[in-house]
Amino acid sequence: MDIQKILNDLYAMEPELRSREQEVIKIINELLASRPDTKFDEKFRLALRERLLTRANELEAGARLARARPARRFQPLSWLFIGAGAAASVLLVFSFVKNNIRPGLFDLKNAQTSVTKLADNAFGNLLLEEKAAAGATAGPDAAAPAPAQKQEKREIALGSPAPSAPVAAYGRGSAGVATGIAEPGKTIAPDYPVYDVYKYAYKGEPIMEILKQVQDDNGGQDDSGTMQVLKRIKGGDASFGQLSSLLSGARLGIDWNKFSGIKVQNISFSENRDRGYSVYVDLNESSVSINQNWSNWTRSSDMVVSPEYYKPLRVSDLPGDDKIIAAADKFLRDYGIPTDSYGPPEIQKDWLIGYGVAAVKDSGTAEYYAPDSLTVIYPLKVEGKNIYEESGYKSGLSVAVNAHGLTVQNVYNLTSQQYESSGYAAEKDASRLQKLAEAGGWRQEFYAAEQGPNARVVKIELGTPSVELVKIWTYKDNASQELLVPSLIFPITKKPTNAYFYQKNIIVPLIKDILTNF
Amino acid sequence: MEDREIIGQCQKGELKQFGLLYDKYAKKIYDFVYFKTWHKETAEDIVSQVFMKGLESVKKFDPDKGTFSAWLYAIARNTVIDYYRVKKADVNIEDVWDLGLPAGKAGEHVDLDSAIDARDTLEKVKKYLGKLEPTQREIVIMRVWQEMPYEEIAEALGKSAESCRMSFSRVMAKLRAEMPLLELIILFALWIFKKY
Repeated sequence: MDIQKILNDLYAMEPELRSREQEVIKIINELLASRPDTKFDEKFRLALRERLLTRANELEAGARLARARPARRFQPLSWLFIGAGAAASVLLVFSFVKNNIRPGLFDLKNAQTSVTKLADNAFGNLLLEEKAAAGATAGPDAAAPAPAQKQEKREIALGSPAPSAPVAAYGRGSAGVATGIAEPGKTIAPDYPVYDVYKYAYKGEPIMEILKQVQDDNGGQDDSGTMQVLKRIKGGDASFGQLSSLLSGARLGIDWNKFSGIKVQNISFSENRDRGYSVYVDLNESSVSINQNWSNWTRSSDMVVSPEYYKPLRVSDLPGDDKIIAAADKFLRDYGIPTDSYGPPEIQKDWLIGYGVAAVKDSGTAEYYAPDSLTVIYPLKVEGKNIYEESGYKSGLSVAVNAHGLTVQNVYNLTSQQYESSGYAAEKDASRLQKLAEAGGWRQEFYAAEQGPNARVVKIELGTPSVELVKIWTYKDNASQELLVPSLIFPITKKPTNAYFYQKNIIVPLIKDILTNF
Repeated sequence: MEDREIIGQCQKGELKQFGLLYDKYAKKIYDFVYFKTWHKETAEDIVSQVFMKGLESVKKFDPDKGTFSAWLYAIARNTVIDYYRVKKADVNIEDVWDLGLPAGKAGEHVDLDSAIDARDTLEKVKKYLGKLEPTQREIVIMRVWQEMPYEEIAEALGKSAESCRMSFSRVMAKLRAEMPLLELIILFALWIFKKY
């Protein structure tokens, strides 16, 4: 604080104060010394900023919808209320939705993914909670070895002592899917995994070249050595408002007035009709999911009486890909579910890996059947980059189609697409990145296991990676954060043909904070 | 980017640009509110309301009628008054000074001792600030604690910079005149000692 400037201003107005300068200085000094700490909290600042941007998105979306079709604002959900109980209740619920839920929470029709750029490191430390609690450091030191208590596990993940040393792992199957090696004439989906030891070898172009290319393309990495991490803006609620009247009418015997600050965090609706659907709207996560309202589907007569419906499918029984995709497309179109943020649909066929290694199939004694339900993924793209799940598979809007009747079973992962982005220090050490890839990549430690006495070494080859975004969840301050982290996606170019090995890609995040979590 | 330009974008529908205004004014408005409540959580509640109101009303803001800064401070001042009005409906209150009471949580009995963060500091500066008119006090706090130039104070209070200067100088003259005699003697002695 420039006291002299204050004094000069004072003397200009009250010249006689000049002769009392010591007294005035004393007063000003005492005032300055007693200035309280206002405790301005950075966490509060960021949280309020996020709330404001969320609200801004909602208001923008509301304005767009109002301009586009003011009379049909909630048309995509209006079908939910068809035939739903007494007319008065329907009106009350509809009124609640219309008047209380902020329109942006339904901003799934927003064709443009929006990304608001923030200052560097705006999301705080990206360490996963357990690492942060362990006192691990981030930032420039993130490339340092993991804390001592994690060293043993890390050495397994990194293939200690040499980077090319084998990594012990399960068969990398997922729940409910066959794992392990097929034995002729026997079950292809053993209950217990067979221990394999995977040895990853990188066979692509020098990773340094990939990193240079990223910088040359200005693909997110700038001279400061940072790359943009995105965080999905989510969270919200709706006022309890008229819903309290609805619940009062339900005679639950609860005095809702005793609760303060009630906000609605999720809502579910069900169609009360044959083969209807249920919709779950998660306002906290800004997401919507749709499922068959199964109690109404099972009473459907043709399903009950038709043994065909329950007959196990062979691959030859499956409808063509075009028919499956057409069924998914039609459902989304019929119910006004937007797909603007997503790429062309693809059918997930990882089940074929298991099928491929099965010795007995497509015969009367087959123990491996084609799935009843096939998942169509509409891959999400943000800022021109593909989004991957931590598993290495593409992330996107998921529509499950029943292969028997080409009916949609469920729709998942329909989320808002508003993000904030912030620069974080990127790893430039190509040899470290290669080492991590050859150790199995991100989340490798999840699969790490002791080698069994009969473990078999399986050679896996990795090709030249691309730089994409990987959806990584962190949990901080009692809330989950959905981050999109720039990462190297190494395609698996050579893998075992006689084992259930489901991985398609190996992921290595490029952000130092995240790498500390390895 | 100037406030006017950002507001123009907001008014065209790009409301996310409001984040830039928030970045610029968040700390200032928070401090302004804190010095009226002396309570972190209360200040955060009020500041949240201020910026939400600002965001939702920015389309109605007319830059020809005043600055955004003045408008935001006016929202902040009114929100604080509303907050205290709930506490004491029959008293003409503007902030913790005039109320003479620290803030309490909405809807609960005002717990004077626990609801204030900096009770000792408040007691210390009362001798200077407690007796001032609300506007005078605001000017002193903005000038000395918030280190705001007179032009900015003037914008925030909807006055001219000259009248703010005048008001501040009168306050200083008043405070000096009210200094205890003993302190004056000590200061005079120090001044003589320094001179010779």
